[in-house]
Amino acid sequence: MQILIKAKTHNYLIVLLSLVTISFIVLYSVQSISYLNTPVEERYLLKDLDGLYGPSGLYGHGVGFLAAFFMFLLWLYIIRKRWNKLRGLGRLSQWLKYHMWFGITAPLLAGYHAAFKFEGLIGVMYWAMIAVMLSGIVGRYLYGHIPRSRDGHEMSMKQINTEKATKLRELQMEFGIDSKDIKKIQGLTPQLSGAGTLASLYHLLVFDFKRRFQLNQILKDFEARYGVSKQNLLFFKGTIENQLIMSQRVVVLDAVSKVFHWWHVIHKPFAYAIFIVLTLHIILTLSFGFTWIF
Amino acid sequence: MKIKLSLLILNIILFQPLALEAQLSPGALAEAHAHLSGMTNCLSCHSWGSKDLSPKCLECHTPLQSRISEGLGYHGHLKEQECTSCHSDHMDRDFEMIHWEPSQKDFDHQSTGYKLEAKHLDLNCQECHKSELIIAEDVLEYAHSQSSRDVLAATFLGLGTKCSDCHADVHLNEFKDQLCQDCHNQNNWKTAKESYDHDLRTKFPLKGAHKKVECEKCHKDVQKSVGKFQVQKFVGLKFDLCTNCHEDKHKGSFGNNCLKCHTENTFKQKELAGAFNHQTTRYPLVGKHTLVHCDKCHTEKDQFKPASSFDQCSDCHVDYHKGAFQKPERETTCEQCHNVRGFFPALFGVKDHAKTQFPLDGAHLAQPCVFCHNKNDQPVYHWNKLNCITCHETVHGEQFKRYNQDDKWCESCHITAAWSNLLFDHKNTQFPLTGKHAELICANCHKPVQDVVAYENTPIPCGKCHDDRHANQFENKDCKACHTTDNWKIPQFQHGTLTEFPLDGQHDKLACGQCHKYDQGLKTIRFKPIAHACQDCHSFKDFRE
Repeated sequence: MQILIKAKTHNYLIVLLSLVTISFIVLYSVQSISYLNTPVEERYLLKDLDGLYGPSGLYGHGVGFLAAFFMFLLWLYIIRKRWNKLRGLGRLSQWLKYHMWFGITAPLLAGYHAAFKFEGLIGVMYWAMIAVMLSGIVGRYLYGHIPRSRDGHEMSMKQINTEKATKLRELQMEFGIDSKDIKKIQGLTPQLSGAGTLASLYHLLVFDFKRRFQLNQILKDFEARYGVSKQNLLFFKGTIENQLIMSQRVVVLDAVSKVFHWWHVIHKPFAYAIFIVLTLHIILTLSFGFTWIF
Repeated sequence: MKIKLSLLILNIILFQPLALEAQLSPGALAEAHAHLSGMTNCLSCHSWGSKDLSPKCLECHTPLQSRISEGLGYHGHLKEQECTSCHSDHMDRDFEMIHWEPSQKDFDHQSTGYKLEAKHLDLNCQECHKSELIIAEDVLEYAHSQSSRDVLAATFLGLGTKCSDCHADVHLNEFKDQLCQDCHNQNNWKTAKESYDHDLRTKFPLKGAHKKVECEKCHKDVQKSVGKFQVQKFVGLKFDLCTNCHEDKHKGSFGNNCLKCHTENTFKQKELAGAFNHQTTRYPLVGKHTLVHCDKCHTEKDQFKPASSFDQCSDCHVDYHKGAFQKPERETTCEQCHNVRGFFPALFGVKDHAKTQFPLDGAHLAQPCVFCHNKNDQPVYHWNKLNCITCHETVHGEQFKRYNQDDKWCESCHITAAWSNLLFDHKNTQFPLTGKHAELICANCHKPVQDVVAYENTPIPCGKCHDDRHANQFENKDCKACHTTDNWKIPQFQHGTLTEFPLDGQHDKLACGQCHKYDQGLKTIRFKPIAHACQDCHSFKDFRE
């Protein structure tokens, strides 16, 4: 079974979902602002609003149902990743996008479900959820800095070097860039041999911050000297940037791989805990008669 | 290693007791429900399959359950709704589960079925809702069963609605068959007398002055007291005799039936006069005697015993005349001049006075008796010598005393009609009034000398009253030689006889002023001496012309 949808289509879909979510949240916020602005211990006195926006209210509970549904959908990415039979169902990187979208949206909706009552111990698990979300964002950042093949699998150092060499050759062949300038490109990335993990991660952030400026500087110089036409500018720019990125990633690859390896230790236990507790929460509330519209 | 660490973190998250409990409980329970905290107690309040907690609430709060089912109290009057619609929880330990709308102070107590009125409105809730006033047995039992909490201090249930449920019975069960509100209202305990119908509720209807008497006057304090209140005795008072309450001033001398003389309106004599019929006594009251206070006559200790003697006025009255009419030679009784209609005016009139040595006439008829019969605040009715100066003072000083014959010298000039009506005739004096003098008033000539108008020895010569306008030109000459009392102007001066220069010829035709001119030295017209030789007035030129 092979289902292939273009990456752009997924991006559009994610943007569309995000717009729907943002619109919904804005609308919900406007409608429930007077309720949410009321101190938590007085909200039950606003019987009408509590019946709509309270955790067991018509809308509040519905949002909770949606948040729980999204929480469960998060696990589709794990299933897809772990279950070989599903490999034909799109690229793993696309599944990750949805995983991330659900991972950001679900805590947001859960916040509205709880009417932002996070005080005391009840908030601990919510903040665990936020921790999973934030660690997911960090993880995604690190994940992006580990060179991967098109199918999403990690590349070996040999594959990385081959890729780099291929790109350099393209630059030399297409635009006639001499070896002096090739060395200049390679020289933009400092060697970090012997640097610790934290230092490497710091340099990773600096690289990402400085790279756009470095790139613009080089492009200005090269465009003038090598006369790159407008038609080839995009390719030229992409190739140069790719060279920079590859160089930088190679430098911090060990540190990123090491952190990413242990990142799971944070992200996954919290995620499992949320799954267990969420399940328990649903079972309990349903058992106590909080069945929403059902 | 990675798996082990993951499991460890998962274990910490899930099985750390507080964290897990937090997932199952949406918040700490309020203090009142604190004993229900814990994962194993969820079902103490929650039920499987129903989010309505009310049955479980009432399963525990049994006093409320019974009141709701019987429609009593605040909860009994509410329309059916879930407990959680008013009482939330899981809001933390210090959460107040009872929400007062708009505030506890402004709570509509009528919604409990017991409307607060008057003085009750000023009280704080805790002044009534305190554990020692709770009497409902189910509440007491419930509180006893909840030994971990002071339910009685917190609950608003269990108070009685009878006055005695909160207030001490200061009557010591005197009114066991009556309600407090039969006599009292909620504005003020002390105003019981305003609303209490003594006539309807007792065998002693209040009449007359009894209506105005403070309760405490009859219902006196007894020795016992309840708290700060002194107990008054309201029941069992004797009231068949007035002397049960009132002191018998007559020491029993008039018997037990006070109402023979007194009424319930007042003991005061003024009012009593109408109640006691004095006409039945040996001394019926007539005239002013009917208005006199009893104790004016009945002054003895046994004051209402008949007076020992009352046939003479002087038995009671002081003799105003101080015995003046009690002399042996006069057989005068009080009744000859006075009667019981009043001491004044006396019955002794003008006709009676005419029989005295001094019959009244003229202005004397208009004078009150005391004007004459009072001297230095002492009554005077007899004079050894009676004439004008007995009463009147002379304004003439020592004048006219020579006319005093038999002390009747005033009458020589005056009569009793008025001082100003005089019998006096100036013709009888050395200076009969003629001409213009007859038109003058006395004071023009008779001036005061040392506050006494001088009538005697008034100087007669003209110059004593009139100024000399001729600057002493006619010294030693009698004014009457030229003037008369009719007019100062001289109608016909006899120049021929009275002067050395008779007027004749042309001189007779001249006006006086042509010869008698104003003299600067004399500062008046010169009449004499005047040079009367021809050349004194005429010159040669005059003759030539």
